[in-house]
Amino acid sequence: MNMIDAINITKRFDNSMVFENLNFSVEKGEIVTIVGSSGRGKSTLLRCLVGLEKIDGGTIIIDGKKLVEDGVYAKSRDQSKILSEVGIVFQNYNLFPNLTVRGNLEIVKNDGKKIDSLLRRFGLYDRASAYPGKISGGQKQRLAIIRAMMLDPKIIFFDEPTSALDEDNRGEIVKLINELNSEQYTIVVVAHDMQFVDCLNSKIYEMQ
Amino acid sequence: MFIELLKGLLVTLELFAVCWVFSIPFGLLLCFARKNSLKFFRFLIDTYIWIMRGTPLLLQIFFLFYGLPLIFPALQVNDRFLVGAFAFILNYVAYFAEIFRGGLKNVDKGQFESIKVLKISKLKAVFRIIIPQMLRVCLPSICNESVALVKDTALIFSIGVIELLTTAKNIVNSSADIFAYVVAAAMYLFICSLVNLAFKIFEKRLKFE
Ligand SMILES: Nc1ncnc2c1ncn2[C@@H]1O[C@H](COP(=O)(O)OP(=O)(O)O)[C@@H](O)[C@H]1O
Ligand SMILES: [Mg+2]
Repeated sequence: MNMIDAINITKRFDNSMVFENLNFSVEKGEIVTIVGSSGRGKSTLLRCLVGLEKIDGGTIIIDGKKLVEDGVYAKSRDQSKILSEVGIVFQNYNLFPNLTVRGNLEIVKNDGKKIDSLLRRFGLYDRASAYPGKISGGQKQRLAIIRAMMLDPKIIFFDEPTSALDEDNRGEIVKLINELNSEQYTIVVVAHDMQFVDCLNSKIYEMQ
Repeated sequence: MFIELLKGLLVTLELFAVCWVFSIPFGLLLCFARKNSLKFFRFLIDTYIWIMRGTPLLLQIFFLFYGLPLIFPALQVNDRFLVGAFAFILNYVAYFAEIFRGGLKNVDKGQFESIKVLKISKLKAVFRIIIPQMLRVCLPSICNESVALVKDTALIFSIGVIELLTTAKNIVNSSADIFAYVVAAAMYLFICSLVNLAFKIFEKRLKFE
């Protein structure tokens, strides 16, 4: 059973084509890495799959539910429900700089118990009242991951998770992604660092 | 003399407070309305801002108090303070909207994307994420504009409202002693410094550190 099915999807900006009739699918519980050189449309593909960009044609099915069928999007309310299955960790995290670590999570869902346990588990508990500007790159990334987990998605997308990290934190993120995957999260990672890709036990999808 | 000047000061402060309290929220509202509206309404809002910022405040006050009732007699309002305050608000809303527009433009696009994918409600997003980040950028400009407002209040003398400056002028005219001007100047300085100080404190709190 597939978690994501993108069938013959097409995306263009104005008159420049990013991809045409692209097929991409991810099985439940899999880790898939999307590789390809810069400008190929890897980020755009992720953005289409989380609803930040609209595709111009094709079908996207998430966890068996049709987000778009032949270029026609589901009703806005259904879209929202379907998209609640996906979470994304942006390349530059896009944390809310005016909210503390805890505030970044509370604004998504005010569930103190859940927040405490996630903060503890990801080693951020004692930084809960710090602002994002005052924590390290690795901590920011972990916060972005926890924030994406607040809505209990089934799939988590990562856009170039190693691009802003140093050597030590790279090993860390491999461990984290494998750990999340072992908890039934389906993971899609965009990467162009092949060393990093080799460390992940993943299916590789190359974007042409 | 002091009693009279204090009375004048009270009118000045009242005008300042009324204008500020209305111009800031309506300026914000106008700025968000501009961002989220159709081209035609955006054009209307831009035209409004263009006129308000491109013509003298004094002319706007005259227009509202003397001009408008000539065209629409039904709009004759005799409360000079009220009409004056209204003119100030109309003017300052435009200035504040323009300042907020700059602040909004400065908020990173990624913030809106996070808000969208995390399904944070519009109201929560605006008040807890967008406005605080806007303010951090445009607080110094808002401070400048607020200090300008303190001093601009004197313009209401033009439709016969007696505020601090007019009071001082009347005292100087009848006593042939400029001391009242000195006191009035000191009062303006004090108020402006207070406004500045308040903004400095607020700015520190908005550092997110
Ligand atoms: N919002 C946009 N408007 C216009 N063109 C865009 C936009 N976003 C991306 N592109 C273009 O789409 C192409 C793919 O970009 P992107 O998905 O960021 O590639 P990658 O992540 O593989 O480096 C690039 O040519 C880029 O310039
Ligand atoms: Mg990219």
